[in-house]
Amino acid sequence: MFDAAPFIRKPNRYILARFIVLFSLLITASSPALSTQILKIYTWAEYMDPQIIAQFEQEFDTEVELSYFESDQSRDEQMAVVAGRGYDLLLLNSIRVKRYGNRKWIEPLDKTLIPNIQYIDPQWIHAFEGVDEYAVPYFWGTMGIAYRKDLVPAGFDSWMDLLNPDERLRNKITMTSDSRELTAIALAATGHSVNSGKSSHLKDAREVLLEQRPFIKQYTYPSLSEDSSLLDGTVWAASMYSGDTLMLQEQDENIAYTLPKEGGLLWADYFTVAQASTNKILAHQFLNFINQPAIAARLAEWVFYATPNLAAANLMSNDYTNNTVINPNSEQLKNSEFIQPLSPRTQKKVNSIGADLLRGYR
Amino acid sequence: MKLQGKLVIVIIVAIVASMLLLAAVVFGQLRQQSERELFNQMQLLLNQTQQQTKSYIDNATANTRLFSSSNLMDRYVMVENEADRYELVQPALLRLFTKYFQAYPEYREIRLILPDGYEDTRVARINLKNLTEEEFDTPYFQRMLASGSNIMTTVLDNPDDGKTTLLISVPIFRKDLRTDAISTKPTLRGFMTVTASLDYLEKQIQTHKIGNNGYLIAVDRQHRIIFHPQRNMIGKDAIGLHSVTSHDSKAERIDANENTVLTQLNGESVYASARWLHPDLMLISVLPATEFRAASKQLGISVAVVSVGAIVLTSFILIILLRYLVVTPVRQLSYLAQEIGKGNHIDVSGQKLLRTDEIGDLARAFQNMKTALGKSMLQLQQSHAKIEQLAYRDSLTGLPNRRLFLELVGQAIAESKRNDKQNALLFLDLDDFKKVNDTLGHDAGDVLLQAVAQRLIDCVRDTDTIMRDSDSSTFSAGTVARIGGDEFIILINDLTDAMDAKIVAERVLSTLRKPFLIMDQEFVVGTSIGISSYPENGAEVDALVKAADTAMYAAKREQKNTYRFFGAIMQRGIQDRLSLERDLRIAVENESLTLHFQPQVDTHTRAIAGAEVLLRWHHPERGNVPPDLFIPIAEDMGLIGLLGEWIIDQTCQQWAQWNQMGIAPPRLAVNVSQRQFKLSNMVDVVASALEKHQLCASALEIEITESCMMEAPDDVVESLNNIRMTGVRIAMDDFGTGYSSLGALTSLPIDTLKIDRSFITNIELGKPNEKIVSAILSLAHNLGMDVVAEGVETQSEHQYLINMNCEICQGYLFSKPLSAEHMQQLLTQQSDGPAPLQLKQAS
Repeated sequence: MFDAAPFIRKPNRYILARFIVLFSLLITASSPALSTQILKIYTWAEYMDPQIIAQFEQEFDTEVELSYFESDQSRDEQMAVVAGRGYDLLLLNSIRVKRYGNRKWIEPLDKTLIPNIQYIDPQWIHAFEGVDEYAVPYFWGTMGIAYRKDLVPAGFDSWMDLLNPDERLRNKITMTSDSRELTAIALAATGHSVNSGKSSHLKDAREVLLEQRPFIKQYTYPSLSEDSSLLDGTVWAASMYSGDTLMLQEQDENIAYTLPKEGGLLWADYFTVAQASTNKILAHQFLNFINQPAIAARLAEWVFYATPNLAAANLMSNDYTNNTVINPNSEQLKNSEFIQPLSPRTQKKVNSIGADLLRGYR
Repeated sequence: MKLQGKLVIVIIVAIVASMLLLAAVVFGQLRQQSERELFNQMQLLLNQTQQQTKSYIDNATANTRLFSSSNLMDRYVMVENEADRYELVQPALLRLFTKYFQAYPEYREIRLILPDGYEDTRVARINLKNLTEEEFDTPYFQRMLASGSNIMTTVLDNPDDGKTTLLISVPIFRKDLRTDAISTKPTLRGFMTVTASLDYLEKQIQTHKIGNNGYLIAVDRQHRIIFHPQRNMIGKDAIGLHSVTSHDSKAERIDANENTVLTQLNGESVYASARWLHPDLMLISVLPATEFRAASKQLGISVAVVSVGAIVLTSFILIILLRYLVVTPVRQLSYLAQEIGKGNHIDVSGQKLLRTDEIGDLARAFQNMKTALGKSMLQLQQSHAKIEQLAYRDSLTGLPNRRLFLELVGQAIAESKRNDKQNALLFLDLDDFKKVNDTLGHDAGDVLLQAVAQRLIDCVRDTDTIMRDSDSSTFSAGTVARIGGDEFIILINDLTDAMDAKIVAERVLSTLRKPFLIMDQEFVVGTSIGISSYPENGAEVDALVKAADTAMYAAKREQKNTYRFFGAIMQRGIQDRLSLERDLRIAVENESLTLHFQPQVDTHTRAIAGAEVLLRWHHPERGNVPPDLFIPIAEDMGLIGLLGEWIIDQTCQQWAQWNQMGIAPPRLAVNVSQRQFKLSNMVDVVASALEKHQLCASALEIEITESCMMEAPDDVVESLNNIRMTGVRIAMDDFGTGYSSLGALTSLPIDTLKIDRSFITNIELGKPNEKIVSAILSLAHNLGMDVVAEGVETQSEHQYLINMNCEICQGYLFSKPLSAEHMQQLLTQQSDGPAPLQLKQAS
């Protein structure tokens, strides 16, 4: 089954966020104005600085309610069931923007309400279909290999090292549970484009993944909390997002991150406004608020991911700017590709590969 | 042949016959039953499998419906855009299918097929390859389409791997609520299909057997074999099934209720029964006809073995039971009857009496009979004993009477003759029994006789052991009998030496000598015993008894309280006795007896101090007959009284005569026996004799023996006293032999003690007798009695008596008994001059 571990960032931050949310609630509750709007955001856990949320709540005399999904797929399932209802803001991965738009689960943006969008690097707005119409870029990053360099001194050079690993790594690896990501990794490892739809390529990918299965401890995403399997040593290597690896690195400097030579998976997250939202103005105001350069900079520093906000980039510390994990240079990204939409029947095959891998697992 | 053998044969024949009959019936029944069981088994297996399949199909159908109606499925089928569908929703649907899949391992595929036949979403066993995603042209998809809104199930060979599976298809009709009007019919959006394996059925067919060789097969509509225990049969056609499936078959119906038929299946003769599991699937149970033959044979063997076993076992048990319950008890009762017949009292064992069956009745009857017999036998024995008692026993003492005794003696003699042994008869006569009878009456006499009898029995009770010089010999002192008033006889057997009988005789004497206590009075009974022996004294019973009787008389005559063996002289004596008795009577009547006198002298002066009068019988033919021979005869004949009176009278007359001559001695002593006191009034006799001859009383002395005196009844003593009162002196004769108590001596009327000759003979100072004589003298002098020493025959004896101051001596030293004539001469010489008696020299 799929692991339901929430993506909780550093515990201190989490607790702090909880406190601030609670604090703001108290303030709100004590306020005479009871017509307080509640902004409901559906996003990854630990993907937003709680202080900024509190600041927003204060400035806009509102309340922010965060709901978290475990993976893009689980969010999609949820949306399929509720058809986009119940949220104001939805965080989507790049390729979902157009799909959600097609399903009319999200609303085209009123960009007049988001003047700060001017700071966004335009390439992120044009990078994916539907983004210009529906989405505001949030962060981007890579998926590579996180590992314990003390336990695997040789380290990892390529995806193939992870897919066809040393015998010592049996039962020491976790891989993402997202079939699209899994297939993409396997395609990259077998020398194909991560977006290839060729049956023979997919067959290669499927073979490689099935052969890796005996080494897999679990198809899941590692926890970021102090009980993380990477920290306690039960897992030695995992497919992982760059920023999350840095968070773990803060707790244990033996944690290392490699962008494989075949290229990592490039990804970008976007905020969209749900069509069913009843607070669309506030939602736009929130998107505008977080794109103030200072706020954006703070957010980026908090999550360890690269911001598309060009104005914010100028405000970042040198540590942040020079960190190649957060900001890989173009040489590093030479072979990395963004995951792009596949043809429906290719997507169906990818789904089938994922189902085959996950079924019978355990 | 014995009872047991007969019974066993009958029982075994009965058992064998009934067992064989039973076996035949059982065999028939069992065979029928086993056939029915096999048919039942066929039907049961069919039913079970049918039920199982029905519930399996029902379950799969229900699950498929459930899968098809999930919320996610609703949403999914409404997403018409493929890209949206596959990117956004399919992963969730796949995950859902996977969950179903994991929950139902028997499902091989779970699919969503679109109305155009495109296989949209599929979860399958990982090793199950998907050959095509376009299912439109497949027959089953055409059937799915044709079945419209109905759920369709079909059995088909999965084109992906060729396995026969069950396909369930549920059409999914949905309205698009956004675009469709309410009245619009829902549109077919796809088919939810589940492919379920029929592995369970295959396994069932592989494993289940009917009987030993029966099996199940599954065929499809075209009678093509789908499942068969033999894998090589799968896919082939089952030839001959038509008769099984068609109801108008001419095949033989085996069971009216079920469609089991005997038919040919693929050339084999089988019983078959078919059942539709599904329109596409028929299950047939097949039982080769050979199975029945094999089963019957097996059954026959089993029944035969069991029957033989039962026959053997039952026979064995019955024989044992028969022995235990009937034969042994009957034998025992038979033995018992024999024993009862013999008169042995054996009880019927209690265990048999407890039995409640006929044997028990018989045992009780035996027991009752035995008891009754025992009682009557006891009565009979008692009667016998009583009769015998009357005939053979003395009624007073219970001892054998004369008759029995004579028989016993006869037997004993016969016995001794064989064993070369000897017997002895002891003839006893109580000396003074008449006295008891006379003085105390017959009752006391009877008591005495009983007491005597008891003592005699005690005497002879045990086998005596006689110690002789070198060897010991035993004999059985057998039988005591009473053969007359106071006469008893003891029979002693197994003697090696007849002289040994004296041991018994002495014991009897000493036993009877002890006083009897009769009516608070002590009696001393004298006994005389005569002993005869076989074969010395005769070979006949009568002769032996007679001899013993004679010996007894001899003993009584000689000395009471003694025994005598029968001798040859006695034999003659017996012959003589009658003539002697006759002669004595004549002699007494003719007064042809004469008196002799033995002088008694003063020890110191030798002057004649008196004389003892002795009776002499000069038989005309026999010469002098000694007094100890004829006195007992006289006593027995009752002549003693007359004789005694005559002696006293004659003594008085003689003294008177000598007195006139002036030569009379100071006194004359006359012996008187106790019997005389009984026969005569001695006081009167003495008094009248003294008066008749004008005699001074002191001139007469009455001598009576010590034993007589001691045994004398009171009236005798009284008579003696009365006699003495008249002045007549009383002398105790034979003093020292009768064991007189000194106390009695003082109370008796005695003037003179005559010391028995046995004390005087060879008496000298320092000899054992000397002390006794000295004591007697000292005693007598103290009591004022004169002492006469009898039997003085030597000078030394005389000298001793002088020294001891004994007053008077009598004996051959001075004079033998003298006739009256010689006595008169002696008296005359003494009166003429004081010439003392001439002493004779003892040799």
